Amino acid sequence: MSEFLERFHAAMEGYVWGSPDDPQPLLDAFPDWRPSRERLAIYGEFIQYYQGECLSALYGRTQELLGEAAWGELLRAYYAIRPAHGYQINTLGHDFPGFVAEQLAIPPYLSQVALFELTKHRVYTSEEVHPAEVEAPSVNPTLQTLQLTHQVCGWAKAAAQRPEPVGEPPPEGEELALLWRNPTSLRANYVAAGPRSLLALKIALEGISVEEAAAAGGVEPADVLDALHEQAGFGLISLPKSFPREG
Amino acid sequence: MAARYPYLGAGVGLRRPHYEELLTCERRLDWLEVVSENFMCFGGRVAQTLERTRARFPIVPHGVALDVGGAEEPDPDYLTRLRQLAERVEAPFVSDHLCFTRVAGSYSHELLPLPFREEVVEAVARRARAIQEAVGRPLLLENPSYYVTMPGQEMDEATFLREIAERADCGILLDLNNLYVNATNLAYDAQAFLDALPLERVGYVHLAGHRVEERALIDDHASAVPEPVWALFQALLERRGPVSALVEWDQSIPSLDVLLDEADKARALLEAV
Repeated sequence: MSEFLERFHAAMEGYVWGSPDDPQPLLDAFPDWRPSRERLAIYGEFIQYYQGECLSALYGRTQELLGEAAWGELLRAYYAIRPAHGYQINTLGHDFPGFVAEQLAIPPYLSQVALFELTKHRVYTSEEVHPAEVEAPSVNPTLQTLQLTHQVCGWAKAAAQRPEPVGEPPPEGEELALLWRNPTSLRANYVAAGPRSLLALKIALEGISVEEAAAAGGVEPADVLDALHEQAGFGLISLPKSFPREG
Repeated sequence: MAARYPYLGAGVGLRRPHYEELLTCERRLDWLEVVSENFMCFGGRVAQTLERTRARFPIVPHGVALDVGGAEEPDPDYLTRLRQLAERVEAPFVSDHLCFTRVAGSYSHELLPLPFREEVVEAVARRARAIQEAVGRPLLLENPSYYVTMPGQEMDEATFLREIAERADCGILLDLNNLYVNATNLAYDAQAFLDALPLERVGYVHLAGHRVEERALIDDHASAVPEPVWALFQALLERRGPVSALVEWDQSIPSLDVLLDEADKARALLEAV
């Protein structure tokens, strides 16, 4: 690269990542260059606008909980770590939950909500392909699990029922969140793990029979079958078409 | 050259609010453009939408992150995925912007203008050739909107674009709204710009709206195509003959009917040539 282009790209680095609100350092790098300062500022505005739009789309609940002023401050701080590693714009949000978790002034539930929102997005857009047919009970290939310190799933479901922004944070309490894409609706589903979902996952993951699972759990095989078909209906697992309905 | 850039008619950009409606819409629409990065990496509903819309319409991938003018070489993973996308939709060609977007390894996600210099022409032309090879399709480079001329200018924009297209043997996506915005903001003659281009390399055109601010016209794709842009389209058609046209509307997205009205208007001009 020529000396000119090296200087150009170095000056752009300083502007874009160092002082997007102030193009003066960029102007200083080229004393003979006299562009309109207010027009040059358009680029800094646009870059911050696009990144803010993307993060708002990914982290809508986190933004609502934080409030506009604190959200804006957080984004400015996040922007400074140059998070946009990927060509797909949403990837610039991938480091956000970890970044939020490191902010001492931010309540811990916010990083939990952010992690949940990112995982929901990843599940929804996962490139995993849902099999048309399975030979044995199988886990949905898009499944992600999150061990959370707050009860986010029920809170998020309740929030989704209301048009207004969320006010209260999720309650404290450990939760194993299960998130997956429904193979039929292609929507992201989520639920706090419970006995029936965990039973279905165990059977699908470990390949144990209905009878073995029933004996181990001290329940009737019919109850196990009922749980399997229920969870298959939710899309958490898939069952072979010939899988028995009754024990 | 014409066979390289087949005539597609009048199309629109595929945007989320119209995903479902486009699958059953009975109005005429000739083709769709998709933002490459929104379809390269995602499965699920996004992939299903692509598959279903492709069953009804020809599709051209139009990228915003190729970074053809950046300080670094294009990301190999990006090129692989772009090739796969182009193959999946059987695209006749792919397009992106004549700009840079990565700055010191991080993506700005803004289309940053390049200095109009010989060394940049050489670098971009070499890269565009390699990209066409890697993607297996002709590449069309779009004239971006810009609000200032970058430092170290050695040539005008039309010369810059022409030299790159000819040395790379690539196509041009001529954005007529960008041309109007740039010509107004930077006080040059849009008609002379058209005269200076190798118009046989123009594979398609973009038609879009802009907003007027005191400091500049801003290319925002948030409104109908304004009359001066239609006039440039007419001027191009008189010089070039029919060329595929695409209406872009990315913000304040209107109903599909309003968007298709714009495509109809473009088609009427195409058919009158």
